Amino acid sequence: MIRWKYVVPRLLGIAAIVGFVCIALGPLTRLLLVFGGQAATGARVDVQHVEVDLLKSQVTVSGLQVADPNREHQNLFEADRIELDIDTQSAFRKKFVVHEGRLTGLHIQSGRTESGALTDAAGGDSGSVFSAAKDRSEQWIDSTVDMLEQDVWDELQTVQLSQELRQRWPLEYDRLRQRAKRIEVQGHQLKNAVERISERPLDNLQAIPPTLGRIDGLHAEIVDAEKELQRLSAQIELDQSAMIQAKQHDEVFLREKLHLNALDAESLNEYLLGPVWANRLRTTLAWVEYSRQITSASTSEEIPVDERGISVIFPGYHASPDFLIRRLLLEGGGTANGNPFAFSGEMKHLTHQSQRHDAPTSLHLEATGALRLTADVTLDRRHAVPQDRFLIDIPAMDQSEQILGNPQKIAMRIAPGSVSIRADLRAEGDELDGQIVIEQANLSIEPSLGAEYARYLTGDRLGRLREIDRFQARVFLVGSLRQPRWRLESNLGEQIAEAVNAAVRDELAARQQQWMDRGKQEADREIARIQDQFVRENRELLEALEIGDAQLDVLRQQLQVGIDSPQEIIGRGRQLLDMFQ
Amino acid sequence: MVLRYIQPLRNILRIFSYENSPRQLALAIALGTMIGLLPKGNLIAVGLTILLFAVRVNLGAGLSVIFLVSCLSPYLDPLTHGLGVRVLSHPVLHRFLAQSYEFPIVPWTALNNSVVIGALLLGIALFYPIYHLSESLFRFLARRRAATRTATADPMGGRGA
Repeated sequence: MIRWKYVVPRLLGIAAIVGFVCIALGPLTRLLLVFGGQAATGARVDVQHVEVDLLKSQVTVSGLQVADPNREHQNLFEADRIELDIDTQSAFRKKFVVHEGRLTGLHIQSGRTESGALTDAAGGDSGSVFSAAKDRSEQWIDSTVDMLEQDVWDELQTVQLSQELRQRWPLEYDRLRQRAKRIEVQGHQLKNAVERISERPLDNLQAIPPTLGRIDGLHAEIVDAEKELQRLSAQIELDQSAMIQAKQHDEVFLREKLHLNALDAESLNEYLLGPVWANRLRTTLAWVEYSRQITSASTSEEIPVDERGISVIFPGYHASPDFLIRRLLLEGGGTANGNPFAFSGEMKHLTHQSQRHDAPTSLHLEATGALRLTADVTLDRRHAVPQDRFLIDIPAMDQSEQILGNPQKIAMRIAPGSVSIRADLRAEGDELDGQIVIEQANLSIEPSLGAEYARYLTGDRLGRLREIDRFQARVFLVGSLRQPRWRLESNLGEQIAEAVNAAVRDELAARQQQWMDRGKQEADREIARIQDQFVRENRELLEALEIGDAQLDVLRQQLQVGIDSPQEIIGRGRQLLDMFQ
Repeated sequence: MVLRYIQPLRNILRIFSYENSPRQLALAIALGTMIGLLPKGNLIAVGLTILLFAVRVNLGAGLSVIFLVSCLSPYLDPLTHGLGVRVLSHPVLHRFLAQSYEFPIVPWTALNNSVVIGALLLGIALFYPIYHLSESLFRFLARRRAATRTATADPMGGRGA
């Protein structure tokens, strides 16, 4: 006989436990997904609802949002619904194996209203390598503007020499004029002295010899002043030859000063396309890193160290991954330049323990609509060194109007068109290698210049850019995943660099000629002015000096004729004494 | 009427206070010790817990011991781990466990873990000593309680007549 009093409570207890497990399994799985996902991505993971059906061995996840660890208000991806059919046989062997899964309503890089950053997450820097190239080109453009804007007037030797002449010559003339004035004054004084002596020779007998001496001194002064005039005449010729040398120096100086190394196409490519492609590459590399995170938990089959003790993997025991999704069908959509597109595909052999599995993780995606895309991704973690390959082919992607470069400086306005992109990227270990080819036919390009530039470079000078009708660019990626390096080649950069270089070269040559002409005019004007002034001043001074010299001769004669010699005066004096005696 | 509905609940609560013979109490303590020593999250721990609920033992004592020993068991990990490593290193046992792992359910037992297998063996080894000692103790206590009760019921010691 069954002892119901004993059995019923235990049955009820077991039923309560089973009921609790059934009810709590969904929320528990949800918590597991949230915390496990957050630990794997380093960003917030939101799950709306999880339903676990033990009878059908099916797990259904609704409203999954995985935030982008690099962008606070953007999702890495979100999915409306995920259905996973669990392999019960594997579950008995403590393996979570999904036969087939369906992931619908998948949206990549969708926006989110709430921040996806975890409170304790540290922000990373991933853009330094790209900004360096942009800076290099911007520096070139800034230096061009600086060079075109610089004022070299005061640095020209012709100008400096002209200024010096303008200061020196008036001083010379002043000095000469003062000298002439002094000679004139002294001449007048001598004239007065001679007249005084002539009127009363006996009274001024003692003054005659010094007066004669003063006349000789003044004469010497006049001769010296004439020599000074001759020196100045020679100085003008010296200044003229110095001016010629200054002009030659200025030519060399301006050539060096207004010399700018040609903008290389690579720098310009980076300046124009860098900001656009840096973002795209950063996103691509973030996905590569993300794929690494979710597929590379353990890289070796050594004895795993548990929290308590060690768990041995028995030899011969068929090692298979603890978590495996054999096939996951993907279905979703998104927008490209505001236009919708849909995609579908499948992911195979997704596991975090690839070394226990015989096939690499693979993803095949096809998109239709505004974005036509075929993507094949292979993530092979079966060997010691992880090997990834990303093949992406976008035969045509609508692209809205693009402004390449900085509109405040130099920018290129690309009209809307269709772009094709082919990318082949390989990541072996941490090493990155690959290239991306971008092509755009029927290109319509319009150069746009900032206000600073427009003053010097007119649109006409860059007009030849409008003739570019095809755009092709290759982005070569090398380096490591953490520190990627890239090189950009494009026909656009080459042609734009050629046009910009020619325009800048022409403008600099024009500026150089302009400065040269101004310097020459200044020098010529100054020399002519000096010569005119010299001729005028020279004539006046010479006349004054000649007059002074002639007067001195008259004075000397007057003194010598009007006044007898001292012996005669003394003789006359004796005669007078004799008469008195 | 209401009592009829709460009767199952009363029955569940009773199981914590019923089954209080020295043997049932000792069995609960021995089983509880065994479960408490084991790391949780494996089929052996689950199986032993089901066993605890299935057999007629004092659940209150069993669950209390599980809680207490679970708190102390991490301190015994060096001992259980060392024991487990010795067992897992033994060729015959190693081969036996490796073959067992090919069968379904067995991987859930986590017998490939050094602490699990060490704790299981330690629990098995301690089972009978604990059972025997605690049964003796409870019998002694039961006798003492019976004596006290008898003394309380007949203060004259049967000499009053």
